[in-house]
Amino acid sequence: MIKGLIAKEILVLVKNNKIQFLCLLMFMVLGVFMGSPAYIMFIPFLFPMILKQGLTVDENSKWDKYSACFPVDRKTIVSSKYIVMLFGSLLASVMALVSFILINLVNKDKAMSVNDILVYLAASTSVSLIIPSLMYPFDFKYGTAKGRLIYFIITGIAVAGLSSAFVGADVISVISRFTQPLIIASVFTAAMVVFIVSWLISARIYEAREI
Amino acid sequence: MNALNINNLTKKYSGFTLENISFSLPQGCILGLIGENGAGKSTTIRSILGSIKYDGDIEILGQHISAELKERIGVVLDEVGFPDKLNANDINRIMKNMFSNWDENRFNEYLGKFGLPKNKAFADFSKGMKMKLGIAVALSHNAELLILDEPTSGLDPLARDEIIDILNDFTRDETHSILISSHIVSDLEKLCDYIAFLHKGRLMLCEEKDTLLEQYVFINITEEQLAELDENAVKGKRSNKWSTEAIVDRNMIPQTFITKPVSIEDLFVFMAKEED
Repeated sequence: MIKGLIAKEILVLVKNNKIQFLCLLMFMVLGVFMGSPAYIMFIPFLFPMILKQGLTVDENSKWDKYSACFPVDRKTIVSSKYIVMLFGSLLASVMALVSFILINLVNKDKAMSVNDILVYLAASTSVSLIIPSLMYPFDFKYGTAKGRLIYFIITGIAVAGLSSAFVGADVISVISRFTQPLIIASVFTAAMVVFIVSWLISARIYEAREI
Repeated sequence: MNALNINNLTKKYSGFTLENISFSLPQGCILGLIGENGAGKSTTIRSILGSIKYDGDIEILGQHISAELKERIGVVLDEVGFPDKLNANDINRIMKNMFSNWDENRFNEYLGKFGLPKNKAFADFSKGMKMKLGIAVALSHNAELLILDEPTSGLDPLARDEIIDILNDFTRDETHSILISSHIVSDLEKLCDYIAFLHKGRLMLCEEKDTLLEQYVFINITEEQLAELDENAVKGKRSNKWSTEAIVDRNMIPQTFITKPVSIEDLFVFMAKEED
């Protein structure tokens, strides 16, 4: 009964994050009135962090152990988290889209083109999916405290490795050869692939874990 | 039919092994799992729920554990794991989407009966209130088997007595069964039809409570008299300078001994010490 799990996720999200949601609204208002998409792009960065807090709440309240009493299998428990993540990503992108439209209405001198809006939206959706998708498998495997640490260590090593691999390469000129729609489609597809692979890995990890 | 069949359950951790546990809970009965802290009660319950991997075989209501089967099982763990900011109304909203046979009216009745507020955050509940809320959830989806892990631990005597009354009510229906673990033996003595002793990961006995109370008795004897008894008759003993007090099998000693009845707690303590 995944509906019950999703209901719980949403109730916990709303009841635990009132101030955080006000902060997101504040970034929206700042972005709109200053005509700056940079403020608005905080939303897709922060939203996954708010969602991820649900895992910490589960651990602290021992809900993760208690959920073994309910008529749901482990895969369903993991799926509820990923469905809420997808919903969160969608909501972050809707908030970003509304903000961009408002910039065009309020700040006509800083109006954004449709192309710009699409690029920002692709980036927003991708960021809000990719960040938690990379983190969740570590959280399901090691718990949120240890998982976060291991995620940072592995991400640090990966970024350092990639940076040194591309030293001297003219990445910008390579990217500029592609058309904008192709870049948008590629980024969005990559985000979806990372999301689905992460979902499958987390489900497998959580099924094998003793809770 | 048995509500629960456990055969050769073994679970190994570093430093602790739950060793080859086998027992059954007949339908309509209450079985109390007694053991000191760390005896393996929670490991047994976590195995039954499929929370951990184990060797052996466990059948619940004639089936192996599955998500569907959990519709028919009500569970209360030693810590009821609701997120702090949720209240009883939120729990109802979640559970009615979780269990296909969730009975909202019954849940509200239990809230009233237990005096639990509907809008107060779970974090502000006392330990007794939290446990009662867990029991209300476990009893509100027409479960046939209740599995309770230390439900009375940390509660005051009044709250414990209330919970025992509730559980007694539950088993008025002959298809309802309860597996309850506790280290508070007196609670289980009031409630249970069957008693299982777990000590350091081993099952010392599993028997009908009335049979145990009938079969085992206290006797006061000298060490010399004790030495003459069949060693299988003696389940445990406590000696001091002047005398020895022993718990023995009534059927294996001469009729001439003056006997005193034992409690389940006495029997468990004497047997556990004898094992050590």
